[in-house]
Amino acid sequence: MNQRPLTLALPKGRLLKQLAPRLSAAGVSAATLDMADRRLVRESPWRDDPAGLRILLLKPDDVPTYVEHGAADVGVVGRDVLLERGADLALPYETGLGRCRMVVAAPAERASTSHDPVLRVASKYPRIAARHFAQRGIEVEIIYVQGSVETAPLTGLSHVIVDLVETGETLRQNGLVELETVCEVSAVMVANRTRLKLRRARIDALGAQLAGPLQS
Amino acid sequence: MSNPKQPLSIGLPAGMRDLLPPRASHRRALARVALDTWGRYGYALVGLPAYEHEDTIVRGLGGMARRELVRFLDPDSGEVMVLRPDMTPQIARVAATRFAAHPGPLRLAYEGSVVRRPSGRARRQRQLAQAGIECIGWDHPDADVEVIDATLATLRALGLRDLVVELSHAAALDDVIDRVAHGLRADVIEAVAARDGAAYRALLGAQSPLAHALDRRLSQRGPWRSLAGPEGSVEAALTAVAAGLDGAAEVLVDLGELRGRGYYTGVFFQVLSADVATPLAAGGRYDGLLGRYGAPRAATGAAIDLEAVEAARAAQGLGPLEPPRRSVLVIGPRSARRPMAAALRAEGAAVTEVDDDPARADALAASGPFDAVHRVSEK
Repeated sequence: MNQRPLTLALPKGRLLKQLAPRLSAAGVSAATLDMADRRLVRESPWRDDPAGLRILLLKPDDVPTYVEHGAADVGVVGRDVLLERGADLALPYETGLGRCRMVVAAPAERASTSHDPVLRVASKYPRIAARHFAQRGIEVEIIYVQGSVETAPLTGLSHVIVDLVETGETLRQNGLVELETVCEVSAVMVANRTRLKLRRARIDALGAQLAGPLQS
Repeated sequence: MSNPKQPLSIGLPAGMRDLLPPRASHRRALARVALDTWGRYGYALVGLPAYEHEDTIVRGLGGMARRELVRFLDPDSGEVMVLRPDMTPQIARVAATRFAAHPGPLRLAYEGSVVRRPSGRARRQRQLAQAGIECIGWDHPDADVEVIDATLATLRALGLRDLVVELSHAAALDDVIDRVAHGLRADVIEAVAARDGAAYRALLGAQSPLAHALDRRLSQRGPWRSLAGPEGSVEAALTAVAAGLDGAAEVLVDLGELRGRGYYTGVFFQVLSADVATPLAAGGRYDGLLGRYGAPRAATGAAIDLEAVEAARAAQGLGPLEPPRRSVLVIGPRSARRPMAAALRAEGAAVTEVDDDPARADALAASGPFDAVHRVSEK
């Protein structure tokens, strides 16, 4: 049973590029992460295990699902995905990558979120948005949108938005300002609870390699 | 009146499922072997009701989230009922009422379905097949060892190999978490349950002694090695149980495990297999439980997840636990087929009878895998 390679689920996209140098340092070959390649399951050598590493390239939203079911032992995913979707996982390693903030933003003329009878909130993150306002006792109507959330308050679809902000440039260009911070978001390495116990040494080794320099 | 344009919905509620042949009988065989093995350790089977008053169940649940309960109103009394989400509170009630005079240790076993609303994305299943034991009134590590030993024996009788026991202790984290300010406690518990060091450090302050204590507990995991500690300590309690297991299985320890907080009071454990991503069995000591039913007594127990056992058996390449009966189809007029069917049944065969209407007989013969087909006629 120990011959089976550790399986790592990685999110396709921006985060993968940021992880690439750390994965190379761990002995994962550059060819394994070549995005021109269309294979979704890839075997790679790995410094810590002769059995190597099996890498699954998934949509970010699917990473927790694969890990929770045990189809992957570990995965890397943004905290935004975990908060929005909910998953029974262990989150033992912070990568320090993909840092951004989940914020409430609105057109500059709006000063607060607490004066409308029912605040209309557009978001790609309906659960995070609903929880944020519920904790403040503010009654809201959540409007789920899939992208270009900034359009919603400009067109009257919503009063405010809840969205991820990295530099704030998109908000500025659309005349929106931040009203409240919902939470800080970054990418973590998550593990299946059972596998964390049974494959501890290898998961800890990989976690240390993917963890950022700020990790204690 | 139903609208003919709308298809009648006869699907099952989310999470409910039928168990078809032959899986249903395979499942039944697993439960029978489990109860038989536990029976050899003196655990006697109890039958328990499918639902009870909400208060009776809830007072025995500890950490289980209230949103996992399936409730309904009893139309006669107007009282709230709960479909049992776990059978241990029921055993505690039975032990505290029906067996209050038993000198102990009282050893009871149970088997059946429990119903929970799903939490987490992988937990789509709402009806879980459980079998378990409780050892009541024996305040000694030997009771914990017996329960783990008997559960390992049961899993092995079910054919499973490569079992790993993980030991934890309720006081390892409770001692720290009880010192966390009330307002922060729920969030800290959530962070610790997820082993999210960054999150609890953000809540408590990275330099806080409580954060350091949590860091230390969460790092105490891995292969069992003897833990030194004074009598009555977490370390001493774990060492007593690990020593008692005496090589019965590979043993791990994890002092950062928060499962069953508010429920377990001492050593608790789970049995894991690399072949499945969910525990095969789990249990532990809950000395506070019977007191909630008015008769305080020490107690420790274990439950096996029969579906996880099925998945592990499949992953380990094991077939049905019991060989299937020889199946025979007997076709003919009643007076001719009945003596033959009776003789075959006496030999232990599964006999299907059908009359000699050719359409019916041929369709049935073609429908199923029969080991033999006999056609008989009147002499």
